Amino acid sequence: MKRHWSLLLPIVMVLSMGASYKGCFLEPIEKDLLTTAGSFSFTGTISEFNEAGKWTKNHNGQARLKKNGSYVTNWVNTVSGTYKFENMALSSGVNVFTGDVRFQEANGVWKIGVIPEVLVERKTDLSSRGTQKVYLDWTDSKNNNLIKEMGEETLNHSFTTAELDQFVVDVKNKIRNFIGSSYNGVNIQFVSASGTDVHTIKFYGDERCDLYGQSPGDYKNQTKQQTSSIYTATFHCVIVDDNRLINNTAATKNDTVDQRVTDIANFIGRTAAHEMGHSLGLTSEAHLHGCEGMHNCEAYDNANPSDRFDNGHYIMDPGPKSNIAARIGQANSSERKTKTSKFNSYNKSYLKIIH
Amino acid sequence: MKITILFSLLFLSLNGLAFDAPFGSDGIYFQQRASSYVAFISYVKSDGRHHSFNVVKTIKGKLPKLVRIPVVAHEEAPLPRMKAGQVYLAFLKANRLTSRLGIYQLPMQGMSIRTVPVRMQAKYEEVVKDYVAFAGDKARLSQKLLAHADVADEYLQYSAIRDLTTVFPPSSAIAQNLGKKLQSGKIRSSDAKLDVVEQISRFKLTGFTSVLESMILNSRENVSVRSAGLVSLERMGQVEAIRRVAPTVVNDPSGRLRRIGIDVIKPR
Repeated sequence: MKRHWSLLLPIVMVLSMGASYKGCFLEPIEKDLLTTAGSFSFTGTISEFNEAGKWTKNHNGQARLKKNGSYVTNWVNTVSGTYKFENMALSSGVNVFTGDVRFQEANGVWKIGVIPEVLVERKTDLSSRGTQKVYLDWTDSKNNNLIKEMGEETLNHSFTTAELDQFVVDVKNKIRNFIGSSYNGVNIQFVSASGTDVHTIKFYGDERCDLYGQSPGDYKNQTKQQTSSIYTATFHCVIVDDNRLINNTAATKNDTVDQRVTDIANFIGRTAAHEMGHSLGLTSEAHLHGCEGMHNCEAYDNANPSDRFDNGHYIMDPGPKSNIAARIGQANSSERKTKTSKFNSYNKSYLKIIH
Repeated sequence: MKITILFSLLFLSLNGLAFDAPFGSDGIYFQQRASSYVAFISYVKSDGRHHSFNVVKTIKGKLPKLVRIPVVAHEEAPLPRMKAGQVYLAFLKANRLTSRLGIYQLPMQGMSIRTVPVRMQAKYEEVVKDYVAFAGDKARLSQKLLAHADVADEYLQYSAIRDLTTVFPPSSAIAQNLGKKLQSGKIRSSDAKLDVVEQISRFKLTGFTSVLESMILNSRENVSVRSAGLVSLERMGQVEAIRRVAPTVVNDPSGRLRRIGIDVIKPR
C-alpha cells in the first residue's frame, strides 16, 4: 500500500499545482467502518479544490470505482452533480475502495482526480447481543473525598461543605452523561443495580497511582455480566499530587467550578467508557486490528488508510499515548478548545452491530 | 496444592485484563515509581505458568538470584518476545507471600518489561540509575534527562523526553532545547518527536516552523507526528506554511492525516 502511494504521490502533487480535483464520497459519511452486510453503496461528487486545498465547486463528469486494487465498475456519469455506485459486493475482511473521477472542460481538456480511500471491513461473525444494561457502582464512599479534593486543590475557589457535596453529585452525573453520549446510537441502558445481564462499572477509592481502570476483554460481548474497575485515586494522584491537570492542560486555578466539574467528569467518564469498551470487545487484537493490549492501533494507521488512533481523542486509544488534554475533552494542552473524546468510526460501527 | 490454586487465581485476577494507564506511564519515571524493584534480568525458560529469569543487576530493591513472573496468555497483556539469554529491564513488585516463592509481578504487564539491546546495556544501566538516584531531586533529574534526550535508543529517548515534558512544569527553555535536538535530527523516536512538536506549539516557537513543514511533507514520517505538526502550524498561526503543506495532506493516503488536514484547512 505504501509503495503504491509513493508512486502515485508525485502525480497527485503535480495535479495539485493550481486547482486539483477529487472524488469525494458523500455516503458513507464515515471513511473507516465495519459492517456485516454483503454489499455497500457509495455516493460522491467530483470536487475542485484551490491550491490552498479548499473546496471551490463541484463538476459533472464520470467516476469509476476500485476495490482492493482492481476496478469493479466502468465509468458512470454523474446525475445532478453526484455519482452513485450501488450494492457493490464486499469481500469478507478488509475492502479498500478508491477510484478515479474525470470531467471534460468546455475547451475539451479532460481533468482527472482520484477518490480518496475508504475502508469498509466486512465481518460475518458478528450479531446483535440486544440491550446491554449498565450499572454505575459508587458504593465505595472513599470516592467522594477524592472527587472533592480534585475540585478544591485545583481551584482558587473556597468551597462550602454544601458546594463540595454538590460538586461530587455534579461530577457523577456528568460521568454518566459522558458515558451515555459516548455510546449514543448503541443499545445500552443505565440501571440502578447489578444483575446477571448487567455490566457494572465500579469506582474504587483505594490508594493507588498506576492504573485508571481495567476490564476483561470480551470480543462480541459474550458475557454481559462483567465488571469494569475504575480507580478514582489514580485520577486524584495525577490531577492533585502530580499537578498534571494544571501543568499539562489549559486548566488554571482560576477556572470556574462548572469547568472543573466538566474536566473531571470527562477525565473519569472517558476511562469508564474505555473500560466498558474492552468488555464489549474493543479493540480485540485477534479480530479488530487492535494492539498494545487491546487498544486502537497507531501502527495500523501508519500502514493503512484508516483513522483509528488520535492521541487520546479516540476513547480506545492506549492509555500511555492518551494525553491529559484529550482526556479532559480539549484539543490541545495550552488553550481551551473543546474536542470531546469519542469512539472512532470503526469502533462505533462495531458497537452498533453488537448492540 | 491449595496454595498453588490460590496463587494462580490471584495472578489471574491481577493480570489478563485490558487497562487504561496514565499518559507516559510506560516511561521509566512512572514505571520505577510504580514498582518496588528495578532490575536487569536474563530470560531462562518458561514452565507454562511462570517465566524464569536470572537477575543480572538490581538497581532498586533487593532481589534473589532467580525471579519468576507469571505467564499471562491473554492478548490484554502483551509481553516482549522471550528469548533465552536475552536481557530485559524489569520493573517489579511483589507482596510478602509471593516474594518468598521468588514470584514477582509486572505492575503494568508488558509496559513493565523492556528488551535491552545488547549494545545498549551500559547506557540503559546509566540512565536507569539516574532515574532511581534522582527520583526525589527533580532539578537534578531534569538535567540528567535533558542529557539523555539524544541517546541512540528509542525507548530511553522516548522516556527521557516524555518524562521531561510531563513530570516537570512546562518550560520554554526545555522546549527550545528539545526543538534544537529535533532540528538536528537527533530525535528518532516518533513518540518523542510527538512530544517535542507539542512543546514547540505550546510555546509558539515559530523558529521551528520549517522543521514541522518538512516532517509533514515526509510521507515516511509517522502519521501521528505529521498530524501533530499540522495541528501545531495551526496553533502557531502559520498560515503560509499550512498553505504550502495543504495539497500534500489533503491527498495523503492516511485517512487520519486527511481528516485533520481538512479540519485545519476548511474555512471557519
